[in-house]
Amino acid sequence: MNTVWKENALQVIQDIFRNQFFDDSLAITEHTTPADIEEWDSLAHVNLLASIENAFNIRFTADDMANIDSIAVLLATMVERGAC
Amino acid sequence: MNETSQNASDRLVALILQRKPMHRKFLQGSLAELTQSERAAAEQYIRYLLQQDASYEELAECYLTIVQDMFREEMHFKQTGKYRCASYAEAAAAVYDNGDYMRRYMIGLALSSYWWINHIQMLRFFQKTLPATRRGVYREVGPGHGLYFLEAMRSSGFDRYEGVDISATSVALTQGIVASGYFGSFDKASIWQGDFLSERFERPADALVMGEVLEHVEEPERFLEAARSAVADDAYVFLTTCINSPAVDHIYNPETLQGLEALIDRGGFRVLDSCVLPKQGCTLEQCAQDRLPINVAYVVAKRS
Ligand SMILES: C[S@@+](CC[C@H](N)C(=O)[O-])C[C@H]1O[C@@H](n2cnc3c(N)ncnc32)[C@H](O)[C@@H]1O
Repeated sequence: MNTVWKENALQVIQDIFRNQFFDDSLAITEHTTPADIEEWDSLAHVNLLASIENAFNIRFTADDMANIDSIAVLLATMVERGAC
Repeated sequence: MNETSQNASDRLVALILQRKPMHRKFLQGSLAELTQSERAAAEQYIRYLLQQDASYEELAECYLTIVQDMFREEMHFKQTGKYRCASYAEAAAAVYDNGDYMRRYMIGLALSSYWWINHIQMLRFFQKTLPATRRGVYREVGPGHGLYFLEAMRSSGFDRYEGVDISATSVALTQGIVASGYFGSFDKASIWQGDFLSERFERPADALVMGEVLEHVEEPERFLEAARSAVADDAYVFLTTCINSPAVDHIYNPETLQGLEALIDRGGFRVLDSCVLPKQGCTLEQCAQDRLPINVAYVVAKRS
C-alpha cells in the first residue's frame, strides 16, 4: 500500500469519523479499532462505510461490510476495491 | 438476582464483545434496559442451551452470525433498495434447508429476542396483551426458536398449544424447549412441521400468534387470509414483522407503516393495538425517509 495514499486516505477517513460523531478531536490511525472509539458501533457502521464509499468512489461488497472491523482491514479492503 | 446466577449471560456477553467490540455500545445499552425478570429469563435460556451441550463459543458464534449477516444484508439493501431473496425457494436454499445454519440463526435470534431492546419491547407487548385466562386453542405459526411459544405456555391457560413451522430445525428447537422439562412441565403442546398455507386445522384457534413470519413469505396477503380462516371470530391475534429490515431470508418488505396496515386490512383484520419501534436513536419520520428499520407488533381482530 502506497504510503502517501495511505496518509491521505487516513486523513479523509478521520474527517468522516469526526463528522459522523461530531467530535473534532478524534484521531484515526491505521491501528484504530472499534475498541478505541466507543461511538464506532454496529449502528454507525453502515453509515461510516457508505460515506467512505462516496468519498473514494468505490463499492464495498456485502461481505466487506461484515469483515471490516478495524482501520487496518478497512484500508486493505479499500485498496482491494480500487481506491488506491 | 445474585451475581452467580448471572454468570452465564455475563460470560457470554464478554466473549461476544471480546470478539467484536463494535457491538459493545448497542448491546450493553440494550442490556441496561432489561428488568430483573427479563435478565433472569435470558439467563435461564442460556443455561438451558449450555445444558443441551452448546458451548459458550458456539453461542457467541450464533449471536455473531446474525449480527454479521445483518451487516451484509443492510449493505445490500442500501445499495440495491431490495432484500436479497425474492422467493421462498431462494430463502429456503440459503437458510431453511441448511440445518446447521438455521440452528445458529434461530439461537442467535433467540438471544437477540432476550437482549435487544426493540425485541424485548415486542415481547413485553405480547406479555401485556396475551389473554391469561382464555381457554381453547393457542396456535403459533413459525415458532422458530420457541420463545414466544414458551412464554405463552407459561403465562396463559389455554387447553391446547399448537405450533406449526416449515423448518425441521425450528420444530426441533421448539420441541426441545417443551420436552426438556427445564422450563416446567408442559403436556398440552404439540409442534409439527408444515407449511401454514397448506394446513387444515380441526378447529379454529382462540389465539393465533405469528412472530416475525410475514416478512418471510411470498404472498403475505394470502398468508393473512389463511390466518383469518384459522381463527375464531373473537380470537386474540398477535403478529410482529418489520419494515426496511433486511435479513438473509426476508422476502417481503411492506415499505411503509401505511402499506403494512393496508395489507392487514386486505387480509381481513383490523388493528386493535400496536407497538411501533423505529431504529434505535431515530424517529419514525427519519426511518421512513432514509428507509431505516422499523419493528412492529400488532394485536388485530378479525373483521366481520
Ligand atoms: C424468524 S423466525 C421467527 C421466530 C419467532 N416466531 C420470533 O418471533 O422470533 C420465522 C419462522 O417462520 C417459519 N416459517 C416461514 N414460513 C413458514 C410457513 N409458510 N409456514 C410455517 N412456518 C413458516 C420459519 O421456518 C421460521 O422458523
